[in-house]
Amino acid sequence: MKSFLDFWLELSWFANLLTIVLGAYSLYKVVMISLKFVSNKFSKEYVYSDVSSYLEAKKYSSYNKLSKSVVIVDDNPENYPVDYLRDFGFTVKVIESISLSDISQLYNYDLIILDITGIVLEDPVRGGLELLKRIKEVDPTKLIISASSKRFDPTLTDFFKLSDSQIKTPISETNLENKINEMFKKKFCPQTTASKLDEYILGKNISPSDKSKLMTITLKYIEGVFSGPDFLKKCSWISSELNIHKYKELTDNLKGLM
Amino acid sequence: MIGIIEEILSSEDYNFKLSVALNKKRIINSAPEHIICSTCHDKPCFDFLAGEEVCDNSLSSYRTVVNDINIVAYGYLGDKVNAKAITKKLRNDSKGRSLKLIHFEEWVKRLSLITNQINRTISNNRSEVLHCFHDPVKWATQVSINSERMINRRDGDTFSERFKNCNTDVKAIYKCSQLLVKSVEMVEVYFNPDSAAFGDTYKANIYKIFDMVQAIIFHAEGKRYNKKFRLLGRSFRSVYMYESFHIIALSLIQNSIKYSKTSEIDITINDVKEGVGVEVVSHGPLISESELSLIFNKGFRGKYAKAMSFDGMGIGLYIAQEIAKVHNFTIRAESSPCNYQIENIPMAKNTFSFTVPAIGI
Repeated sequence: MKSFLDFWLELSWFANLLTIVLGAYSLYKVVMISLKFVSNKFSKEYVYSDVSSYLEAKKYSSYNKLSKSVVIVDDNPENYPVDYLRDFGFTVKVIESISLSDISQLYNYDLIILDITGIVLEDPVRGGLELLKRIKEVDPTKLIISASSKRFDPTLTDFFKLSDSQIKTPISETNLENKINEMFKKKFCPQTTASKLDEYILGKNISPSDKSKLMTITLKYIEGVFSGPDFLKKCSWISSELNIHKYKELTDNLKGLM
Repeated sequence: MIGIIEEILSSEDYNFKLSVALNKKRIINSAPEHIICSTCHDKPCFDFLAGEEVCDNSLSSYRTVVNDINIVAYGYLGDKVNAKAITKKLRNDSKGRSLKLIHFEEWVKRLSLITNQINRTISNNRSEVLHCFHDPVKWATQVSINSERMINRRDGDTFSERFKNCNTDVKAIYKCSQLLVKSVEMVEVYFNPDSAAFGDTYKANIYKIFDMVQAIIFHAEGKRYNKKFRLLGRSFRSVYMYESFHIIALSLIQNSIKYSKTSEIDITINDVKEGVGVEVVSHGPLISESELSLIFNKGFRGKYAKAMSFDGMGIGLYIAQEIAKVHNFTIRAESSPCNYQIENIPMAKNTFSFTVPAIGI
């Protein structure tokens, strides 16, 4: 022990320097760890691995049926269980014939179920196709279901292909209910849009820590902590791996549904 | 369509004639062949891939595709023929046989205009004729909806429980209505192959689809013809598909019922590396090699098939193949002789097989 103390005294200036440096470093680390602890304790930190799990925790699971409206444009409305849909919670309007000049009234509905024959005054044979083309020209995102039992007719192929989905009429209660639900979920359900957002990130070469950082920024943007331009600025560090404008567009879609 | 194009090109009224082959088959009544081509039996020019090619005899061929038909105009002095390679004899033999690419393209354009117009006319005529089919299609759907409602009024927590509690008449009406709707869907694909890709895509287990279809057919037809289906293999994989997929199962099983001479029909479904492998095996009339290559053509029926069954129209396998195409696979057919005969018809083990890609549609 004595020899050790003698050795230490012989080093005198070096020992002092070592004590000061090590002491200062230890003090610095203690302060930093404390600061991090306090910051974690009081700042909003997200623990969600993806946007879907965030929505699940926040109970955003479906769209609001009561706010959704459906218009059925068909000269044979008896082919649809209209009362059943109304009982189910949808606002349903039936139009048996329409003029092309009145097309604007259809834009107010969230979903249009469209027949092809006997509905347009100006073209009773294939007016539904013209109606569909015009609506999609004005609003390509408008949900349209083509409704006809004439799938066998090769001249109607465009009518079926241009629509978002197809049904055969007559149609049963549950089949139509499922179809409408599925269409609305695709467009209006936050969970579906969140899955698209998560899928977009999934294929990219992003490390887990970067993903966690991106998730925090995204969720803060969704909650309105900062603006769109700020969101783009904050995401700029990952722009080499991700098209941040496309990412913002998907996030905005989700934000709009919440 | 190939028959119509052949007729147009052979017609005396069609005055822009070239010596051509459609799908590797020479059109006899079009322009005469080059004297060199008439002695060339191999005709390698029929296999050229695209554009202009010059053969070993220093003659050009031009190839194009119109309405999925390969068209080759051959035996001409074209743009790519090396002027130095044209001997005096070749020049003399080729009098009036100079054809530039621009002229060939003009010829193709004219032919395309005519065929497109014919296609439109055929579609419009078909649409008019089929208009009377509209109401029966709706009635078939309505019968199916009503039979489902009848079953749903019975006691039970699930549809299958309620179905079990129905009497045999209701069960029969439901099964027949299902077959009726599916038969209508087959006709839809027959008249409009594009309709195979209509409707929703959904993820389904192919084993379950075949099981469901065989159960319906067994109750509706199998019992009557004393046929039994054996569902073999192990498959747990689900694949994304169009609503029309079940028609493949329907067509292949109905085809095997119609033509098998033994009571058992084996359906084997296994998960394989590429996706889900399906085999439908039955023992029936021998299908010759030449018939195998045509068996999926619209309206085609084998020699012995015609002798065995009078009510076939040769549409089931055509429809199945059309639906397979939109699902990105093809159905294969094999026929292995069994070395015995029934009613003077040689018997064979007939296998229809395909692999549904795991990626789905």
